[in-house]
Amino acid sequence: MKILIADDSEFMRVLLKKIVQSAWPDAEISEAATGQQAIDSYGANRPDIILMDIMMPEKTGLEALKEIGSEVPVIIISAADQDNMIEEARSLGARDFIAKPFEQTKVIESIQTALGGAQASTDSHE
Amino acid sequence: MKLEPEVLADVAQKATQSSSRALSVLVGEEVTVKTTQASYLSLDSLADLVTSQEGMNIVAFSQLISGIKGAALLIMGHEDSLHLVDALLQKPLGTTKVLGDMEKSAIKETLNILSNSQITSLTKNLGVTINVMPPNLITQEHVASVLDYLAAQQGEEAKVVAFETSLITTGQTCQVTMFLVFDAELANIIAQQEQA
Repeated sequence: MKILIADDSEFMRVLLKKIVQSAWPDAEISEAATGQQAIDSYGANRPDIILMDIMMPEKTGLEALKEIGSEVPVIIISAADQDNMIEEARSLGARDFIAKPFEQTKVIESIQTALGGAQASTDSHE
Repeated sequence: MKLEPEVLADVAQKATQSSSRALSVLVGEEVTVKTTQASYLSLDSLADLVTSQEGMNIVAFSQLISGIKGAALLIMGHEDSLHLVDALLQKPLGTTKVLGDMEKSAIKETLNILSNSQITSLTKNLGVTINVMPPNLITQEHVASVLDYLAAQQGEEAKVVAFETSLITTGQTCQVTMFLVFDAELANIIAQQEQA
C-alpha cells in the first residue's frame, strides 16, 4: 500500500506514520507539509490513499483535495472539525473526516474502510 | 451592549470541557480543569492577566481569523513543556531534555488541537465562524507583540472576550494555560442570543 500523509505539523506526520506502520508494516509512506506539496507528491507517487490536514501553508488541504479530485480516497484529519468544514470536505469527495485528537484505532478503521476493507498488519497491501 | 458575567462563564465552561478531553486523549491520561475564567476586558487588563503568568516561558501563539478574530496562546513552564512532550511522544517522563524541532512541533500542535476543540464548541453553540491559523512558538518577551497585534487589529480602546483555562494532568507532571482572545463581536453575539 502507498500512502501520503499531508500535515504541516512534523509531530502529527510522525504520529500518523507510526500508526500506519503499526497496522501496515510494509506501507510505502510519503509525506507533505503543505497543500501544494501534497498535490505534487500525489502526481509523482500516485498513492493508494491520502491522509490530509486542512490548515496548511501554501494551499489548504481542501484546496489540495479539490485539485487532486476523488480518484484517490482522501481522509481529512483536522483539528478544525467545524460543521462547515466537514460539509465542504465531503462535498469535495473526502471519504472520511477524523477530528484531532484521535484514537489510533479510528485512523486504522477509517483507512480500512476507505480502501474497501484492507486488512491491517497481517495482510498489508502492496 | 451588556454582557452578564454568568452568561459568559457558562459559554466558557462548555468550551473548556472539550479542551480537557482533547488534552486527555493527546497525553493518554486524565486531565483536570484547574481553573477556568471568562472575562470581557480591556486590552490593558488582558496584558496584565497574560503577563502575570510567572515562570511560564514557553508560549505558542495562533491567530484567529474569519468571522470572529483574535488570538490563541498556550503558556507553560519549561519543565512542564518537557513533560508534555514526553507524554505526547509516548516517552518515559524525563526523557526529553531540550526542545528540538520535533518537540516544538508537538507543542504547537497541542495549541492547534486545544484551541480548535474550544472553538468548535463555540461555533456549534453560537453559530459563529472562527478559523485557527497554524501556530508558532514565541518567547514570553514576545507576548507583548501579540497584544500589540490585537491592539492594531481592534483598536487600543477595544474590549475583548478572554477565556483562560488551566489544565493539569492527574499525575501533576504537566500544567498548561490557554488563553483564547476574541474581538468584541463575540460578546455581541453572546449577549444577543441571551436576549433572544
